Amino acid sequence: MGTETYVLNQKEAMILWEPDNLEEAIRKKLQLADEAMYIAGGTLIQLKKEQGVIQPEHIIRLDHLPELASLQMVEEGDQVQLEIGSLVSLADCHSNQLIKDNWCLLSESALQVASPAIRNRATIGGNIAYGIGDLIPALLVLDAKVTWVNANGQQTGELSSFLKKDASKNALITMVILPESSQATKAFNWYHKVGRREAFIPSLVTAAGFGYWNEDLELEHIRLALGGGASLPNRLIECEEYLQGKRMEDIRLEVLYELVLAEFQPASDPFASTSYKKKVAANLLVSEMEKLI
Amino acid sequence: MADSKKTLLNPPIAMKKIMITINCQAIEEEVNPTTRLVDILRNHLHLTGTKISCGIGRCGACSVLLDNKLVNACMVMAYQAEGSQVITIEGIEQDGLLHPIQQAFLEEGGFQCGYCTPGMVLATKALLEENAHPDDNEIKTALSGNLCRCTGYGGILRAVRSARDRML
Ligand SMILES: Cc1cc2nc3c(=O)[nH]c(=O)nc-3n(C[C@H](O)[C@H](O)[C@H](O)COP(=O)(O)OP(=O)(O)OC[C@H]3O[C@@H](n4cnc5c(N)ncnc54)[C@H](O)[C@@H]3O)c2cc1C
Ligand code: FES
Ligand code: FES
Repeated sequence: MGTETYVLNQKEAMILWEPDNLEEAIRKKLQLADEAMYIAGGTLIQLKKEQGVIQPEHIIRLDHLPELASLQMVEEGDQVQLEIGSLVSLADCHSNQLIKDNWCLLSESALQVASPAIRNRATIGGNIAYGIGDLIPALLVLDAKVTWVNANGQQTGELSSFLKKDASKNALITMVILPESSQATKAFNWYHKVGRREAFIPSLVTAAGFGYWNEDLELEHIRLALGGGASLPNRLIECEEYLQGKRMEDIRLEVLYELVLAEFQPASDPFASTSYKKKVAANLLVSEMEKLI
Repeated sequence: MADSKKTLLNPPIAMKKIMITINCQAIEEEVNPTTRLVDILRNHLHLTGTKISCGIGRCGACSVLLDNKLVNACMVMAYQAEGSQVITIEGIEQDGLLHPIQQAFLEEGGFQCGYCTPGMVLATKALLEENAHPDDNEIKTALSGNLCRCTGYGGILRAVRSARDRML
């Protein structure tokens, strides 16, 4: 065993940096900027490398940093929140009992990504940094926050603004925070990934919804998010505003349908046009609301 | 510019002695740390039971167990396996006898050309170690990353059910 030396094609080799701690990791990234990227599970990076996508040559390893691996409930004022280290695997996001019991949309969405072997390696931080990861719509409707570190130090903010802002440049995501889940009895949630082959390729449309009714059967809380393909997942703020506070019988599905078509702006791709994706999204959302009213 | 990059922190790692325990044997290999585990197994160690097909995590031909978890060896880089226990198809026989899962695949017609079989067997092992009584849905989910171009999956499902029953 091990007698023959196999020469790695140097073009394929990447240059690995092993920082001793978070601070070093960030310093290295700021120094190398666009020539470097963080690597967590490495599943997306490896996929792109094999597909010949040009990527930064330097990789800064994160998977050995214990401070990114924890998963814990923390008291914040009179609320408890779940803090998920960015290295937590999608397999754990799916199977962790706390997540299953209280934030089942995250658990469900993690199961929709790739295969068990990939989920064992892929991380929640990598999925967010991907920008179009299938966890994002679920996290958006759960009002997730992220903590990240970049040139301006450590910050915590809404996931939705992190995705949009320039914040993500050079940012090292350290943690995903889920606020206390609602114990409302009349709560509902759903998550759908519509694609040509369920788990292996970017979906056409990924949709998530979460909300609850109050005692008077008014929609007290509603969150809707859509993503899919190469489009940045987004909350549907106008659709939410239309629904917010409405009594069941006042919700007009045909109005909601038109609002989805107007608000969701997915990019077309070689397999599906923008208008097709809009239609899929509007049908999905309206049929989910129809089940509730 | 290039020099200043090199002077900060630890130098980048070009070649590294990587220690991995493969099938209960400690292995030390000097490799570029971004070498894929599948290449170490097949090209350095000639453990060719681990197959390579898609190279992008989609087919499962390269499935191995890394610290008892199912992974695609084409997706894991050497540095990520450092200090870990890897089990390949060559490592699951028991005292010269086929593992009960292998025996089940053999008896139930769980393979034809056999290319997907090492991955199927290891995916089955990972499943049964976590869940001794999987139903058909759980079996399908556990094997969803392992593709077979020959059998149509009927024989594979039979083999996994039979392995489950004989390992109880
Ligand atoms: C076969 C296959 C199928 C897949 N299917 C899906 C799918 O269905 N849905 C889906 O969403 N994804 C899919 N993916 C993509 C990918 O596996 C997941 O999105 C995964 O969660 C990425 O996590 P990772 O830790 O492996 O990321 P890595 O590959 O390590 O990194 C991905 C990107 O994120 C950056 N990054 C990683 N961690 C951090 C961090 N903490 N802070 C800042 N930046 C960071 C990296 O620099 C890189 O740009 C698939 C991949 C494969 C190989
Ligand atoms: S060769 Fe690794 S998954 Fe296909
Ligand atoms: S037996 Fe030929 S690929 Fe499965």
